[in-house]
Amino acid sequence: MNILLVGVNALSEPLAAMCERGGHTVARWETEKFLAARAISPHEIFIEAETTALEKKRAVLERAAEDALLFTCALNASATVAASWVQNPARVVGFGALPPLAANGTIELARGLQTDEPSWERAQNFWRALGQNVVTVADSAGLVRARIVCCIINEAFSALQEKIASPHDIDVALKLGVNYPQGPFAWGDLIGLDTVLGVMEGLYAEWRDDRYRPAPLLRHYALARQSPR
Amino acid sequence: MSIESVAIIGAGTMGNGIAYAAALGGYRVTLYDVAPEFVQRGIERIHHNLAEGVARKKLDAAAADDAKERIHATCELATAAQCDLIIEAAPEQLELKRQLFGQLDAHAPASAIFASNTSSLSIAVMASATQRADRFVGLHFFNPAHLMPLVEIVRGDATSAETVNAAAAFVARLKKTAVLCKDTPAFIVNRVARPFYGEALRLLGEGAADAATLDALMETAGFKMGPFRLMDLIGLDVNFAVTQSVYNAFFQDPKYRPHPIQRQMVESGCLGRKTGRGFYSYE
Repeated sequence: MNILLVGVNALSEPLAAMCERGGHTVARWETEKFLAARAISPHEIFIEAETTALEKKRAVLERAAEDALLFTCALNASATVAASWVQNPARVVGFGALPPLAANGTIELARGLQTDEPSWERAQNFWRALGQNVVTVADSAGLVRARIVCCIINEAFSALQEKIASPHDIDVALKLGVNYPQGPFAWGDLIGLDTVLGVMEGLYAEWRDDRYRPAPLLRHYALARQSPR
Repeated sequence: MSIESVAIIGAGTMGNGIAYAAALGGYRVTLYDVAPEFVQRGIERIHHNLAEGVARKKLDAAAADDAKERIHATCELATAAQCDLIIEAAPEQLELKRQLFGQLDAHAPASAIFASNTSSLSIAVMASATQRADRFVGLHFFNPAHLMPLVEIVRGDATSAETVNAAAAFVARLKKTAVLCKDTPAFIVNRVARPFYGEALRLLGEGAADAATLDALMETAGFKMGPFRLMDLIGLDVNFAVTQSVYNAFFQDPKYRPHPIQRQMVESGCLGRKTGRGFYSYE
């Protein structure tokens, strides 16, 4: 099938490669170029992987072909909210994953309130055919893995902002003290701090709970395109 | 200053684990508790762990025997105080610790360094019970202390660089890894790790998925054990107590807010493996 994938981040290229290995043709787009493009190629599947600003996410989704199965990356907004921005919301399904993606990894799928049964079936079959294990989770910004991991990374930035310890020591502490696969700053770099910030802002917008407020230092590093490491 | 002798105040789980590590590190160890049976139990645990280490070929028998020889028992605080480094591993109650430190301060040599294994109390507040705030430091070990490689060295406002260096040298001789932290609630690990449990509990409460699914998802992300399996292992009561402690230490900052599910489970006796039932059943 023809797939259009919009967004450039730690998820997008592995996703595109996975689709190509599955025999699909993937047109990759960087967000700004996509929004400015005069014409976009026909596609049966649209994958929106815009994990930063919600306005960009919305603008991207609005340009998807009306009859395409539409996967929205539910890291920074729920499928229901994203679906409410588009014509024909019944074909929208939320998906989530955390880099690094594995060839036989797991994709979280979330059904929006508007998602119809045929789209839901097609969505699950699509990822299974790519060799992914599909797990259904409730529709909510961040889904499961990204929510938990990004909240940990956000807390690490909050601790760093207070200068309680060095970034190196914080990473070592979480690896050796509680056996994390990698330290929070190393993990933040792997995921991309703009995506981590996007997840926190998505959680904050969804719950309006101070619990999810992004650490200012996380925002600073994301905007500066730097890492504390 | 060079540390050659170490006293451990409290022969409980953490205390005897630290004593094990210190003895293997070549230090002369004095293990203290309030009654002989507590110290004896602590020493038996150390011997058990040493034997297990030898059986698993992690230690050679000679090293284990040497370690045993280096450990001395006492129920006299004044005796325990005659050491270069005194590590307090008593119950997590501020007044109790302050009293202990006050008494130790009166007996210990001026050059002795005091350390607390506290996971949640302020180093500066405990140090204020003594006249040696510059020689007061946090040495926070992780359970099980005889095996876990990490130690958080916590520096109070008044802790001298010399004290920090001596603490670092001590941790290095134990062949463990030290990280340095300011005297702030929960230090590094207990603070930064909170969302692993907190967000998982929220997701469970929101019906996002069941505990087994949530655990499986987190295991795909690289965690050896998902949050619910881990809470069952640690003990829901222990985990809930730490969560509440951090929440209160930060004056109810919502980031650290506990969850009704954990309170309910703890109050109904569902503590995890140790009671046969937690988020999973072990019966």
